[in-house]
Amino acid sequence: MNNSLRVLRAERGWSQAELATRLKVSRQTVNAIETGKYDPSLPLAFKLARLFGHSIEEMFHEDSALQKTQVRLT
Amino acid sequence: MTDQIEQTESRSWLGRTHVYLNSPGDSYQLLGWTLAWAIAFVGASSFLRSDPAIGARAGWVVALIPNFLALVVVIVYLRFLRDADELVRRIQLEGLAFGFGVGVIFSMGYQLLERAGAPELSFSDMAAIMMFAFVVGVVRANRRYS
Repeated sequence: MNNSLRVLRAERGWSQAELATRLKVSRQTVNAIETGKYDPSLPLAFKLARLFGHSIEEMFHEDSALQKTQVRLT
Repeated sequence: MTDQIEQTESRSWLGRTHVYLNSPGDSYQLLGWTLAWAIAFVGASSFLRSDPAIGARAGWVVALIPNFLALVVVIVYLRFLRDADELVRRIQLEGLAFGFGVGVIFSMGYQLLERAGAPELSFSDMAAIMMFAFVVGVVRANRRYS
């Protein structure tokens, strides 16, 4: 799943470590979410949304391959 | 949005407890206790094999030391998992699954090879293979999420 976490973090001038501390997770987790290698759990997704003041849907986007499939079907 | 970051921590000889997530020190502590157990196990095995004249009571004491350290490792590891965040827990779970799977497959498969004439392996050898597979599983999982 794609997300805009890196952009939002950069806007606030936070490092990955600082964001990790605010979320009470490891820096490895933050990096894995940003690179799309790991999708956060629902509680963590809600934490992220609350922290950045956005909805989960605004922050996380379905993969482009899935979007293409959906466009083909409609 | 608050800038204060909540931290709670208490210390014991088994390591830090009640921290909100693992620190590098927690990993080193787990590694330290694991190494201590491994050294005690190898030392006790060698000692008991080399000294058949050792008294029964002394032999029991020597044999129980690694078991006590193994129990400490289990406790420290459980605390490590409890304090870990969701991704670290997933990585550890994948490592445990890989280690368990390889261990079971190898031990059952090797039984057949033993019947065909392969050298006999002890239970400790099987356990060591399982532990090695666990480490490989954790390394693989770490790479996947890095």
